[in-house]
Amino acid sequence: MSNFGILCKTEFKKILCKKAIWITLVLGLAFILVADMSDILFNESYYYGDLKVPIAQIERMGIENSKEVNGKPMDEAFYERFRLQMSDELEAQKDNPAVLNDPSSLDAGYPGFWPVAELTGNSWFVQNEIRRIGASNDERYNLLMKGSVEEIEAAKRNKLEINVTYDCPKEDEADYWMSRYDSIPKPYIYSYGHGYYKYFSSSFVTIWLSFLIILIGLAGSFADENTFRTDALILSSRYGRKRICRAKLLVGLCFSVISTMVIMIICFVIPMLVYGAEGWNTPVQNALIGCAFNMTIGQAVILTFVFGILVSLLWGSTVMLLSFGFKNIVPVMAIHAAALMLSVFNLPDSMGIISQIWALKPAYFVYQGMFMEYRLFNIAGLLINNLQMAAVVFILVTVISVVATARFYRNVQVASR
Amino acid sequence: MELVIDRLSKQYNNKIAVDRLSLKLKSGVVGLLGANGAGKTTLMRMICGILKPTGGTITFNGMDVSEEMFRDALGYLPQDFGYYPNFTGKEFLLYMAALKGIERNAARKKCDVLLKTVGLDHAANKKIKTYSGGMKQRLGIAQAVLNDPKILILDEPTAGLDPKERVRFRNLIAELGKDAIVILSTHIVSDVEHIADRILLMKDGQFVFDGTLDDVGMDLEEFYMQHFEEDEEGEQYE
Repeated sequence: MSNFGILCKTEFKKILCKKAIWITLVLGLAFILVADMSDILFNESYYYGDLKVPIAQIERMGIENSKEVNGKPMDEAFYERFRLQMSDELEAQKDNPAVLNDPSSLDAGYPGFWPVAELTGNSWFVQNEIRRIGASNDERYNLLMKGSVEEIEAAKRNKLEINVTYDCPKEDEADYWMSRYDSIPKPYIYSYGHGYYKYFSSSFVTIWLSFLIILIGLAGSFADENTFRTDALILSSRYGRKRICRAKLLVGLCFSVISTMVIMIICFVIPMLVYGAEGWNTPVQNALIGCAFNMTIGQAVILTFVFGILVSLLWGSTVMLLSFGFKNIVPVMAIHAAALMLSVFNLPDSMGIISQIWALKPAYFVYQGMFMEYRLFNIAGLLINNLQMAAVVFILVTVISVVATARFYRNVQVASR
Repeated sequence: MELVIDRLSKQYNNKIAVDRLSLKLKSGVVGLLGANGAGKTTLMRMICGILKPTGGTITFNGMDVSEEMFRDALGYLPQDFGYYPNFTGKEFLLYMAALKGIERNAARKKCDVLLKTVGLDHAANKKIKTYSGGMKQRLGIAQAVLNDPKILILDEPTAGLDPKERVRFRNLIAELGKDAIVILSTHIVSDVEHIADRILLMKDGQFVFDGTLDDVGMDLEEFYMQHFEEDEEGEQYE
C-alpha cells in the first residue's frame, strides 16, 4: 500500500471510530423501518362490522390481484376487469351493513366503495387513480366505474394541466410539461407501484439520516486536528500540506457517497421485499401521481440514486470546508442543522426566482417531490427544469468547496491556541 | 548543513513576538532558554514552516522552510503534542511515517526499533488514551525522529518524564545532535547545561545571549535566573 493509501485508510479509521455514527445509523434505520412498515409490523387491521381485514392481508391481496395485469395496458378490458371485481365483491357483502354504510364511500353514491376496493386488492390502484382524475368524489367514482379509457385519460391530463398551470404562470412552462406528458405512450402500462411509492415517499427521511451521518462523520475532518492538537505534527511533515488534504477530501467524499448509498439501498430494498418490485419498466405515474416526466419507475429510482450521490457530495464537501474554516465542530454542526431545519419551509411562489432557488434545497431531492416541481428556470430562452438545474448547482458548489478547501489548506498556519 | 535565519519577525496585532532575529546554525544541539512569552514557540513554529513570519526569511541548505523537501528533513515535537486517543501507539507512528513519506516496510521496521528505544514496545498495541503523560511524551519523541531528521525541533521534550527517563532522552538528543541541527527549547536548565553545544537566551522576541556554556562563565541556572530577576524588576517599575 502506498503512503497515500495509508493516509486514506487512516482517515477512514478516524471517521469510522466515532461511535455516534453507528448509534445514529442503527437508530435511524430502525426508525425508518418502523415508520414505513408500522401498519404491517404491528399487524394493524381495518374493521367493517365483524369483518376484520389486516393491512398486511390487504397488501398481499393487492400484490396477488395485480399479478394478472402487471405490465399490461390500462385499456377497456383492464377497467372492465376491475369493475367486475368490485361489483362481485359488493354483491358478496350485500348483507354486511358495516361495509355498505362505510362513511368514506357514501358521499359519492357508491356504498361500500372503499371497503370493497380493499377486499378485492384494488385499494392502491383506486387511490392512485382517483387522485389523478376529477374535481369531486362524485366525478371521480363515476369516471372510474363508468368512464371510457379515453374519458379517464382525458381527465388525468386535464387534472395535471390544472396543477401545472397553477404552478407555472407562463404559458411556455406549462407547454414544456404538457408536451412531456403527452409523449408518454397511451394507454398507460399498469404496474402495482405501491412499493416504489413507499420508497419515493420515505426517501425524505432517508436523506435526513444520510445527512446526519455525513455531518457527524465529517464535521471533525479538519477541525479535529486542531482539537487534538495534531495539526502542528501534520503540517510540519512532508506530506502534511497537499497529500493529506487530498486524502482527507477524497475519503470525506467517498464516505459521504458510500454511507448515503448504503442507507438508500437498505431503504429501497425493504419496501421491495414487502410490496414487491413489479413495474421497473412501467411509467413512473404508477408510483408517482402528478409526475409529468416521460420516464419509467426504474429511471426515476436511478435518478434518486444519482441525486443521492450528488447531494451527499455536496454535503460532504461543504461540511469539510466549514470544518476547515471554523476549526471546531460545533459551528459546523449548528450551521448545517439550521440549514436543514430551514429547508423544511417553502417560500411562496410570489417571491419568484428566490423561491425557485430556494426550491433547490438539497434535502428536497432524493424525494418524490423532486419529480413534481413544475417551475422552470429560463436561462437565455432555454427552459431548464429543477432536476437539471439542481444537478448543475450541486456539482458546481461541490467543486468550489473542494477546491477552496484544498487551496486554503496549503497556506494554513498554526497560531497560538 | 546550515540553517539561516535572517531578520525574522512575527507580530500579532500590537505584540511583537519575534523581533528581527538573525542566526546561523550548524549541526549540534542548541539550547533555547527563555521565560514564558519570550517567543520561543513562535520562533520554532516559524522554523518548522507552520507559521508564516511577518518579515524575514528562514532557509535550510538554501531551501525555504515552506518547501516540501525541507519538511522531509524536519523532525518536530511541539510543546502541546497532540495524538489520536483511539489509535494505538504503533498505528500512530505508522500514520506519522506515512505522512513523512517513509515506505511501508521500512516504516514498520523503524517503528518497532523506535518503540523499543523509547521503552514503549510493551504498549505498542495499546490505545494512546491509556498511556501516562510520560508515555505520550516518549511517543512524541519517537515520531519526531522517525525520518532521521537533519533538523530536529524539540519544544519541551523532557516535560513529564521522570528523572531517569530525562537522562536517557538527554543522551539520545545529544547523540542525534552529532549529525543534525537540534533545537531544544526547555525550562529545565540542567538539560541544556548537559547537552547543548550552543545556548540561546530569548527575551521579548530577541536573543539576549548567544554563546557556549564557557561563554556564560558561571552556573547556567544562576545566569538564567539573573535575567528573570531583571525582568521582574522591570515589571515592578512598570
